[in-house]
Amino acid sequence: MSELFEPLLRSYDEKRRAELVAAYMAVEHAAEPVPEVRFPALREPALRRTVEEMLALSGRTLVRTAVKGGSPRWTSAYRDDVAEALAADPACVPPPDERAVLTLILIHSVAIPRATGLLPDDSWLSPYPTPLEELRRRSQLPIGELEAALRRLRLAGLVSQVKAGPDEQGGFVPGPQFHRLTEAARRRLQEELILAAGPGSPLAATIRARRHSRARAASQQAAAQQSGAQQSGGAEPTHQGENE
Amino acid sequence: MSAPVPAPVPSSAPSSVPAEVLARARARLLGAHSIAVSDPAPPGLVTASDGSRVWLLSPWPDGATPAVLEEYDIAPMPLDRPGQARRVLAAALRCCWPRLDEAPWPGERVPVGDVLEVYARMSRGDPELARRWATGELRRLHDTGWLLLDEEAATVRPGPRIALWPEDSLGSLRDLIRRLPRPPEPLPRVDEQAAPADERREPDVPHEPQEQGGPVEDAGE
Amino acid sequence: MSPTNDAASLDDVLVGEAVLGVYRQMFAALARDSGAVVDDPEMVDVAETLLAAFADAGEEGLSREQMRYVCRRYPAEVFENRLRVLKGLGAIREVFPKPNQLRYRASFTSVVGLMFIRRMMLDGGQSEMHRLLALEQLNVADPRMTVEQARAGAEGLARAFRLWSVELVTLTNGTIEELREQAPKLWGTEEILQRAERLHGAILRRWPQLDRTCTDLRAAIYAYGDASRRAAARLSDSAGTTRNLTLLPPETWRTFARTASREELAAVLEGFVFDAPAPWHEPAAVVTAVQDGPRATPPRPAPPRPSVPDPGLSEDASSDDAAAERLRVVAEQVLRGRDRVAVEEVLDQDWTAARRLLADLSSAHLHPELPYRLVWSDGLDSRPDGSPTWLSPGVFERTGT
Repeated sequence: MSELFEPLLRSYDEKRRAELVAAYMAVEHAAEPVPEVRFPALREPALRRTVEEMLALSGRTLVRTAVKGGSPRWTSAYRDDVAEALAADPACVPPPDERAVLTLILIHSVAIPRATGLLPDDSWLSPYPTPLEELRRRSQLPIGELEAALRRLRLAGLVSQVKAGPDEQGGFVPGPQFHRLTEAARRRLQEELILAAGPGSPLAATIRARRHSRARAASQQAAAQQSGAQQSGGAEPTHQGENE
Repeated sequence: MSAPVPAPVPSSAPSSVPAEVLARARARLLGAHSIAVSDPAPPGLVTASDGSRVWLLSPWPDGATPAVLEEYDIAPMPLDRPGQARRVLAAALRCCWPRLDEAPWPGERVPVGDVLEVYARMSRGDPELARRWATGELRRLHDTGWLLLDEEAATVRPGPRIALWPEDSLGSLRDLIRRLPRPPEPLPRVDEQAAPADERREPDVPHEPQEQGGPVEDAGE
Repeated sequence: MSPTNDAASLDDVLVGEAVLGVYRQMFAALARDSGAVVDDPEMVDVAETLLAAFADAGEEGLSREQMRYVCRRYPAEVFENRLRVLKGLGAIREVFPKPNQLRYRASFTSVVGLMFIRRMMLDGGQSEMHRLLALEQLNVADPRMTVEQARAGAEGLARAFRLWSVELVTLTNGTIEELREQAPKLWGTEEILQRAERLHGAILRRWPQLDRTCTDLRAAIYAYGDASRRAAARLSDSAGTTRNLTLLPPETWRTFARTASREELAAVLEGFVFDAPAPWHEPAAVVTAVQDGPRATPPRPAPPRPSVPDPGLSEDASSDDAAAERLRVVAEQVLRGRDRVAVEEVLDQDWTAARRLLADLSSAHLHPELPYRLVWSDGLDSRPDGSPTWLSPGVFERTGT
């Protein structure tokens, strides 16, 4: 069923073609970002561009995650404009109970370890589990709802369970799906958390001010475009930051 | 204080994404969702139809499947108890895929009890516990598009993702399914139902007995 | 500060001495010796340990031995040094309840001072500023407050805001790491700024003649707000997609997590989309799973169907939950409210029952959602008269909090 990709793949010889397909499948399906050294089609910029185009057919894009000192790694994510459009569709948005549990896990596993200086990496993944007891006893979520939501989140790779070891507590951490966020989406996640938990902080004020001015600029631009009555087609991707 | 920030350009954002791109993104996001046969399927998607509904699935280039990852020794999205999930899937296929020379999709609708029974016979240990684990697994296989579970009618049939299996990868699976314990025969209300040695089972008549030649086993009862 | 001024009256000297006394007591906890501030935070800990012990001891006070005992984890010379300084500054006083009996008592002021110091260390004075503003607001409404007091209060606040601004501006022009670390202690939340402006308005309404002072105060508040915003803007421009999470203190995060409603929590992830679960089962992997699985020994005549009618799906609807629940019940019966129990203790029954129980405990251990663990240590214990007759020592215990 590859007619969709045919126009992009046609011009490549068999070997290149196989490399492109392998890279495409790897970034789309691996749990973790894949190292580019393993995939020629990720290593070579021209081929990588084709992978990017293959992904774009389904509204996706390459996301690069650099590890300090290591070779670059790649995964895929929804493009910001596509994610925004999908989020407008209620069928595509996780239900509130799942989102609520996920937010709690992001706070306990990422925000708090970050704020206490335990978590050095700039990532939404974390080795610090949120204990089930914390979710059960010290949140406003009903227990029944909580456990059902956790089960679904685990199935979807949105949270991972960490079994208790001899010395450490078990619990839940953000799952591998959190690799699959564009830089803009990761930034926005940080902003949303700060707006929610510290609405009175200067940082929240800055975030709000930025969004207002960006929204204003965008609507002015839209108005200008309309009055200019100029129908240029290809609105290009990867702009987001603003939202709902 | 934290007044919601107005949407920048309410209607222009969605329109900037071509409709068929959005449709393919949506298909990936929802996993395996279905539309009525009469609805037009967006272009560029793999479709699996059972005659009344069409499931929309993400296309992969050149017949590749995520099994490619194995060649590169790269871990796929983690899965709890993958072995158990796959054994339950095998048990389900033992029941839902009676004509093994054909494709497993769309297969047939069978009572959930049959699948649980096959699974219990495949497994060691407490059969009651095995059935319970299997029920949870059936539900997860349903949630991920590998089976279609009708909880009310307590029936199960193959899910649309099975349609993604390339024909040439099915050889050893066919052999395996053939060797699995057979589904139980229905409760012998009219006792002598072994007559029609044919394997066709109408989806609507799930309790029709099944006779498959081979060594006759005591199927219980 | 010392009473060296010959022209000062005796009263002045006494007042000066009293003020100095308070200062000394307040900062006694920080003093390295009578002349300087400590350079090792452990020395503050000694003071805190002692003051806590005094609070517990009540009017009796403490003897020297008792003080040494509560400070036993500190080396003798550290303890001696602290005691000397704390005594010298009046934080700890000697009393003689009976002739020949020496006891010690602690000063209330030192405890308050220590609380103040700890809070200052925690948030750089944010909460003190809140308190101060609240207090001033009360004062302004107090009919006994004089215009001079009001002026002094307003000038003090203006000075504090200016100093804060200066520090923030310096930081904002420095390295991003330092700014990120220090800003949360220095910058003003909207609440502080609003409070300050309210206070400013209240002073001006009651004492219009203080308009000069109030103009100053207003300018200081604005400058502070501006410095805060500039620091925030620099931080939000900085690279990184989780780094700014450090800008809210852990307590703020915790409070939000514990008090927010489901809707408030869910709103954070509004607009984010995630893929539905889509694990892949390759046909070959299904084959392997069956072949490698724990199999019923070679295809055998299947056992008769259970005589119990098939519960069907509807009743199995929560089978996972039911299984987990059953295991939880078993586990709790075994633990009987304890956090851990020796396996051999609970297996002290006939072997069939023991084996079944052991299977359940292992299942509870393996169940991803149950907070139990089965831990075996190495080695085997033989129990000639027990059943089973040998056992490797193990514990079944609760994980989680």
